[in-house]
Amino acid sequence: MSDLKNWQDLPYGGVILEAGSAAKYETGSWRTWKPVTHRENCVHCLKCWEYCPEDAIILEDGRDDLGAPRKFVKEVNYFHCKGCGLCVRECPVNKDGKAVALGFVRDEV
Amino acid sequence: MSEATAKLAELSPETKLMCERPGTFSGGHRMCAGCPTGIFTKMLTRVSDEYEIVAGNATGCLEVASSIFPYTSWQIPWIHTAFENASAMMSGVEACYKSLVRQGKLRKKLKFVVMGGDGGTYDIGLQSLSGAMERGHDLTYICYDNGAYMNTGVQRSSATPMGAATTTTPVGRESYGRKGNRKDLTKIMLAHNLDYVAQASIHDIGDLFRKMKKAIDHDGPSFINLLSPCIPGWKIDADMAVESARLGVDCNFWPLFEVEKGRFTINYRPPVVKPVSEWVMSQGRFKHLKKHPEVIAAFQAEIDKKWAWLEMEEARTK
Amino acid sequence: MKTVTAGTPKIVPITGAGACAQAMRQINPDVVAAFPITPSTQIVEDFSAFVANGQVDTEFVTVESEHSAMSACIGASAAGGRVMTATSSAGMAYMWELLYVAASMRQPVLMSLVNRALTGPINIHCDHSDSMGARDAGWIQLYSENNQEAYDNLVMAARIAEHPDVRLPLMVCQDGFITSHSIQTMQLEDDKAVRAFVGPHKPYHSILDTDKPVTWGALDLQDYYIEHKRGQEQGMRNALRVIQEVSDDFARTFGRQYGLFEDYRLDDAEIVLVAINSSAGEIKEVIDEMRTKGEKVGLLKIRSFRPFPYAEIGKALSNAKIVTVLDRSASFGAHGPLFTEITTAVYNYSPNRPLLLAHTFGLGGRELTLRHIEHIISESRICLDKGEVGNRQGLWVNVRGDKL
Repeated sequence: MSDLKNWQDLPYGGVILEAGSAAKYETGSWRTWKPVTHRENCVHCLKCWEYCPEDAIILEDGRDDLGAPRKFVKEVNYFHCKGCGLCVRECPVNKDGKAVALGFVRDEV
Repeated sequence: MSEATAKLAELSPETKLMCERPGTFSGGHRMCAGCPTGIFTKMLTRVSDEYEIVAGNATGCLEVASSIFPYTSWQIPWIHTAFENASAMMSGVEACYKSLVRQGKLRKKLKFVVMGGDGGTYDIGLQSLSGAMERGHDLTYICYDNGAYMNTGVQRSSATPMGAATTTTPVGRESYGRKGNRKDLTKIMLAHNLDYVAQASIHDIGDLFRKMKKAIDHDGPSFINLLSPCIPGWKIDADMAVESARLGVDCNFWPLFEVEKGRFTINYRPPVVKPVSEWVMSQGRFKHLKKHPEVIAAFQAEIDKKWAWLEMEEARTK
Repeated sequence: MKTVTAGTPKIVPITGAGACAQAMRQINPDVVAAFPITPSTQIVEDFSAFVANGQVDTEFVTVESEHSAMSACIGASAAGGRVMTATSSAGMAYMWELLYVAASMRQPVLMSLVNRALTGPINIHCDHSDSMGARDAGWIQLYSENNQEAYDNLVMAARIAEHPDVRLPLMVCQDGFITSHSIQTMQLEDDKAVRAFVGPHKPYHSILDTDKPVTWGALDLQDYYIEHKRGQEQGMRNALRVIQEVSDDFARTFGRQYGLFEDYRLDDAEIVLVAINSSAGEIKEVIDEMRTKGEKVGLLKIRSFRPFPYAEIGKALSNAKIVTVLDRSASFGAHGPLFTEITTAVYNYSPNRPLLLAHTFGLGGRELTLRHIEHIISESRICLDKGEVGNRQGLWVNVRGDKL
């Protein structure tokens, strides 16, 4: 927060004009553990994307086996990911126990 | 482009719709790691593409953490003014919308969503909620109930479950935590002639999606009470919010049901009803109850009584 | 400045509350959210009738409390609407938290405040404790001696409050029961002329604009709060100029000239009384009478209390030899708010500093009669001749058990 504005440059009333400006704020520095995708085991159910409170699971467009368009889990947005582990715990592939679609590893400081 | 080597999961209809629609709420907010409020806030703009959403909050964790100047997570118009008045504030927003539409000055289809924690809804905000719901504004109120005034450091609210340790009902030589049963706000809302009242949980996204859609689609006031665990308040691990909510529903502490124009529907009956002791013992705020089995028993009795009432209402209004 | 024709006004007998309701009807706000409280209730009731008869486009929200009234007003204003409300006394006290919010969010909510005593004991009659209690909230406060002034002030209110250099909420105050419930003849201006004078409302970053979504009511930490407040203060400072500009335009349109205050026979006055609202009317009566007896006395009647025109008032009091300030509210343990402001004005801006004498009167509707005013003036003369106010300083007027 190094360029703090002068009062004359602020819009009236404390209104924030830029929607979603929090996306610029790095909460990734909070974590001590981080999720790691293992795409080969992922079934792209999008549960991690649904449950992530930081909106830190990034999706991409693709096609299923029949060629119909669908969304796929691409990667974790580490700029925002707080390392809570919800995605790792709720992943149905992880729960099934036979494979790991989302690993959880100690993060490097 | 990805090459899946595992079989692709079949997406639920709700998930299919949601992933194609823009979200409401960006990352970069300051909620605790694992706080589940970010789960439902993302969904506000994803339940329908027939209208746009204008939202407002009561003071609380979600409000504070999502709007620290100059950062805002809100990607839709959003307003907050004070703790006890979110419903009144949004009543004014909605009234102005109605006025401008009637005068031909505005043509968009907008819907209004108010959010508040149990603090700003059950207690200090109850009056303004009651007033707004009674006046019939086209508002959806979503209460994210985490069972205490969490933002100020976990003080008890009227939604705090029996036996929970909070900073104003701490465990001590003369205290086992919160005395007495919590208030049933969903029931209070039923007394307001609302066409749509529901209880939902952040763990069951499909159910939550359908309820949010019904509530917001509906022209008139609607109310959703949402079970939303709190990591530091419940003293659970950061990855446990969803599991804890699931367990809370599976022990019938938080039945998932909806009431449409007086007709009750229980949306989920646990295949195996778990005893509340299991839910209670999984959280640090209750662990002292090991020494107070009579409190757990009283808690269980209250849950059973409430569930029986729910079954009766569903049968009566079939 | 655009030329607006005055149209055809009507002379009507009407109460102060009724006059405010008429102004509201003519202004035709987008939203009114109000809760009844004596003695402002008639404003809300009259307006409800206009709504029921389709005479206005207003969406009227019958909220369940004054706190909710101001909440709804702020919400509606943030949604780009022109918003009005009315209250008194404990109702104002109940919305106190939100008065600050409305001002800091720069929402130009307009209020008719019918002055009534704050509870303790509960009393429905006139004093200025309600609006004086809210003087720090950041609202523009205009006071009105009679029904005409209450009406005129409200007609001017939107242009002042909504001016881009100001954008602050504004309350027009008048005495509870004394003017709000008494029928006076007044000039009710032509509907079209008022509408043209007031002009359209321009929303500022409306919360209904989904193409440009904004966040209103964010949290400020130590790094931004004071900058936002400084901006709010600037709006108030600009209001001094804007109030005069709008008042001058009002004079050009409707023929009645207002300033930041009214000076009555002030030029050569040695004794000046300073007062707010209806008692000014009685004081003018007594001044005229005492002038015939040779006493050089005048009145400075407050119109704009916030922003307070220190320099202008200080200058106007330059030739006075004693200024006797009549406060109709108490700040317990200190002098009344009006006295405090006048002292500041005089100390800083009157090259010849007059004696300053404080009196408190009229709490809970206690009368100030012509006889009392005469007595105050003659006692001020005695102080003046002595060269000091002595133990007359801070006396309460017309209290059984106290000698005035």
